[in-house]
Amino acid sequence: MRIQPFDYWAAPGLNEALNELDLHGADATVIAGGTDLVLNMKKKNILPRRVISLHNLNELDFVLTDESLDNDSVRIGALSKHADLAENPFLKQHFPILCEAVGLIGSWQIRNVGTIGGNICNASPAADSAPPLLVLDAQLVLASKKGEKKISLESFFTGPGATVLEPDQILKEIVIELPKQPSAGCYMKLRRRKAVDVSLAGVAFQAETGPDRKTLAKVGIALGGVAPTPVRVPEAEALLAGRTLDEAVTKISDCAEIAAKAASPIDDVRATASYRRTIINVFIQRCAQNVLNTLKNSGGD
Amino acid sequence: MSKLDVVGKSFPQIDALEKAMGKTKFVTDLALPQMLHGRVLRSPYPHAKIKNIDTSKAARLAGVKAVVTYADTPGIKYGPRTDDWTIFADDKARFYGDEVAAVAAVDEDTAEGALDLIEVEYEELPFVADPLEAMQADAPLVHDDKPGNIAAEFKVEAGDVDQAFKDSHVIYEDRYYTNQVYQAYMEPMGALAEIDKSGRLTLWTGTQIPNMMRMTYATALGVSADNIRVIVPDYGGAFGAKMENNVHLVAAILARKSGRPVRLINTRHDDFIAGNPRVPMYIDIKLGATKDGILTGKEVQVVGGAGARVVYSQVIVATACYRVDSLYRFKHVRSKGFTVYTNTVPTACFRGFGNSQMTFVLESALDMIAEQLNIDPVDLRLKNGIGPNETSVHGWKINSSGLKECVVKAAEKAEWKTKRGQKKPFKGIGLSCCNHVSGNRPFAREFDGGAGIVRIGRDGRITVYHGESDMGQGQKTTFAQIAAERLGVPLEMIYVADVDTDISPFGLGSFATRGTLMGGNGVLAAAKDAFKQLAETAAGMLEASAEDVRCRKGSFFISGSPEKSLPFKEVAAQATYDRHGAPVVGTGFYTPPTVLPDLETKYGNISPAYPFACQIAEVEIDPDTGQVTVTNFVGAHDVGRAINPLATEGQVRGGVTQGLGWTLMENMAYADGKLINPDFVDYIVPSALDVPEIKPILVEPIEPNGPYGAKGIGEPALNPTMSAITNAIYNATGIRIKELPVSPEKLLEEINKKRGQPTDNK
Ligand SMILES: Cc1cc2nc3c(=O)[nH]c(=O)nc-3n(C[C@H](O)[C@H](O)[C@H](O)COP(=O)(O)OP(=O)(O)OC[C@H]3O[C@@H](n4cnc5c(N)ncnc54)[C@H](O)[C@@H]3O)c2cc1C
Repeated sequence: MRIQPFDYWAAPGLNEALNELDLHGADATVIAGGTDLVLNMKKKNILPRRVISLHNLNELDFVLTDESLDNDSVRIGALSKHADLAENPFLKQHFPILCEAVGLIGSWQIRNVGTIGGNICNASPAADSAPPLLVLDAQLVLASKKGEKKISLESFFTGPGATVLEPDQILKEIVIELPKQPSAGCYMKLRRRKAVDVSLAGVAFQAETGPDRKTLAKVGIALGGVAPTPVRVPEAEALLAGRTLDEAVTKISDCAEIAAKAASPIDDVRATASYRRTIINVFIQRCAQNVLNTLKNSGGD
Repeated sequence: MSKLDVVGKSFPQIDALEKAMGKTKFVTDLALPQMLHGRVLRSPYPHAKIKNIDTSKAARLAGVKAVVTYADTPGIKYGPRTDDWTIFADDKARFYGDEVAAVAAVDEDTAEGALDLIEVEYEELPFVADPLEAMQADAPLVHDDKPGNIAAEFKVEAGDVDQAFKDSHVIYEDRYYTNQVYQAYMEPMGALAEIDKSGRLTLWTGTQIPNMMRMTYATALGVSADNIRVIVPDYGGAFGAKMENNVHLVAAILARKSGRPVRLINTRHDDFIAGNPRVPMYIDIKLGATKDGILTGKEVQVVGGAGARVVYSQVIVATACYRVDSLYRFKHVRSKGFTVYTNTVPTACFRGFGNSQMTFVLESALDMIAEQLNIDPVDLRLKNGIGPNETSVHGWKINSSGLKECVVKAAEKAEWKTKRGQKKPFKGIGLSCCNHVSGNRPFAREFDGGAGIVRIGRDGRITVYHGESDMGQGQKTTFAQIAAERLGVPLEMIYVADVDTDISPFGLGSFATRGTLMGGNGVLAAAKDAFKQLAETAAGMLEASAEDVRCRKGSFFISGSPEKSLPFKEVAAQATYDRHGAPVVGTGFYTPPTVLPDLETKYGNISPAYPFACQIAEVEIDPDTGQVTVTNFVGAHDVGRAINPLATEGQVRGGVTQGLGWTLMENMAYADGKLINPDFVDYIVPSALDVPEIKPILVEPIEPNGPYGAKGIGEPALNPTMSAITNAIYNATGIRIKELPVSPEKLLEEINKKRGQPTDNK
């Protein structure tokens, strides 16, 4: 498994990278941490003639509250490393679910080089950052020489390894609105060992109360690794949304049942479809329990 | 024994710094001028007729210097044990991964590219992957001349088993299955091959058996053994796998055809599909005991899958059949073993060598018996465990046995009584014992001891030559410690040479947990001889008689008056001058007091020393997912004497980790006869987070036959681990694991079944 020869160019800045993609986009692939791309090149799944490195784009390695537009969202640069995000104090405070999920990616070595942009753009159905970002209603800023475009993460994935990204575009940043009321989230992944394993099934559960702090205003449930793309499960969310925390607790097992049914896992060497479904059910219950408890303790005075 | 200066002390391995700094040259790092790079084209089918191979396009590719197939080999049938091997598939490919053709090219990219240009016309044949299915009358034959796919049968019987069962108060009977697992060493198999002007082949390869390999390969290549030289550089692990494998011979054939040196290292993928993984086994066991928990009779039947050719599987099946009989005071035992061809990768040695498979089964059965009798599993082992100076049912002479001490100490450390007594839901504690050997008399019939050479030059540089194999387990350090102790010098003065069959003793190699005892005794004998020669020189210099000369910490002195001393180097220089430049060369060998087992009854004494162990695992089970976490682990090991406690404890930790992986996650998975997880993404081995703190306890009864009292540790480090964990799972859930690895899905199913039941015994 040798990597075929290719041209390599490290872009000094974002504009240069976009110019280059404008000229050679169809022949080129960008590389961030390379923890997915290099493996795919070795396996000859991708045979790019030109590899454009984004490695030096420090301008895309940031976590910022957006001062320019409003103070209600956080922007995460696509080149941010998992290890940094997992420990980012601001994210830990507002979106612990994301920190938990990226903290479960691979190993220290992988998290030190792997980027959140790479995790999303690689579009693995099992990408660990995807379910949390889905339940946080994340928006993606896609940039090309022609300009920038903002789309929802939900409309980004089109299939395993496939996205709406154009050859001249790169993912610039991820934007998440800050919760207005108390919120909590939880991510759990099924794996065969306690580190360095892809998610065989992942569950993200995020909820936010209304101003009364007793009613669930927003509920987000997303699954990874059990469908061609990471998916939201609106029918399971609907069962809980609008209910009081106490009511919601009584609906957890129904909710889990619905989510497990909505999944379309496959049998493979990693796990059977039915086991994955069982685990989705268990993890949704555990995540929901955990989130509702947190909200109760934080809001219910 | 007087006070020891070097033996019994913990040292980092003498080559650890070099390895940590990335300076060590492994097989993969070796290069010669003009060297080509080899790659193997392997069968994409588990069983297929090869109708035609067209290599012309590949041969025309720029940079390709040789393309070879079966037609380029001498066409000799050979094998380490059974002549069912050919270098490359002849008329048919017998497993997914079988060697079909190979290429040598100026670089690896070209070699890989050339593989795609070789056109092979296959006709797929029906295949059989499971050994039990392979025994059925209508099963496809892997080798046309092996009816019923039977590669070998083994039988042993002692005492009156039927009567023993009649006299039993309880009997336990069940079928178990142990799966095929991969050794997952860091460096894949491979070799650098060079052929000189006279046609003599030199192979640089990581092998556990440099000398035996050379003899097998001589047959395969149709040359005499002295026309092959094997050099063993540092290499990245083996765990049993690195014995004979066609990949080395393919390198030789490529070198022969191209006239240039060829380095051929398996890709990880190739190593998975064509290495030599563990022999999978179906094991039926019947075990009886009296009311008081005295074991009465034992009967087993083993069906082991050899894969497409026999490497050492039949010896491994035989070992599974009867080695455990010498762990307890059995009197009535009967075993039958079948080694069966299948269309999978040929299986072979992996730490434990069949004894690990059977230990898992026997120790599981023992816990079932203990439960039926309401006896503490600890007491059952203590009642039946074989002790020092006993002779087992097969004639094995147990000199030292720390078995019971292992059980007692492990139980104490793990707080067995307390934890077993205060059972919590889905938490459990389990134990398992094991025995093993330190060398296996019947493995090579000619002899089974060890030898060494100690060369001391003018400058006092001491070089130890041995004929075993350091694969990273630390044998060099062990030998260096033994030589340093015997010569009376600090460890730093010893250099241990790589094995080179042109220079080193004709050692049998590193397997059967024999290195420390056999090789160590050989090195000890050589050091003794070298010392004697130096002592004579020193006697002259000190004006004393040689018998009174001592050496300690690098200084010679006369016994009783250490104030007058001579540095070791001065004595070495004088000895060289006295010999007109010849170095002091000590040689020596060790003859173990073993008895080759009778071919029919298997009565004999296969090893000069038998190590024992008791391991205890604690587990926690997630009742909703079926996932098992090992939370604590204690391993008490009778090692005779730990030459290097640090390294010995390292072996325990490594063995337990490997056993934990086997128990909880490792499995070579097949679909349509093809391995579907030939990489470390889907062949899962434990990560650091999966392994609890492992607490080794070294029990040192001092073995009279061991060098400074030592026995082996390599294999017993893993043998009991599987059943220690599954016995803990049983304690936690009441579910008996009868198939490895533990599948969380199946465990969950069983847990749910039990939950459905109103009451339970626990
Ligand atoms: C041992 C190991 C363990 C792993 N474990 C996990 C795990 O537990 N969970 C998990 O989710 N993943 C895991 N991964 C996968 C991988 O590490 C992650 O997906 C990582 O986030 C990828 O980021 P990267 O920067 O390395 O991406 P790269 O490999 O550089 O890129 C991945 C893909 O995205 C594209 N790309 C990257 N950045 C951009 C951008 N800004 N704009 C447009 N396209 C872009 C590239 O062209 C490429 O196609 C593992 C990988 C390995 C090797």
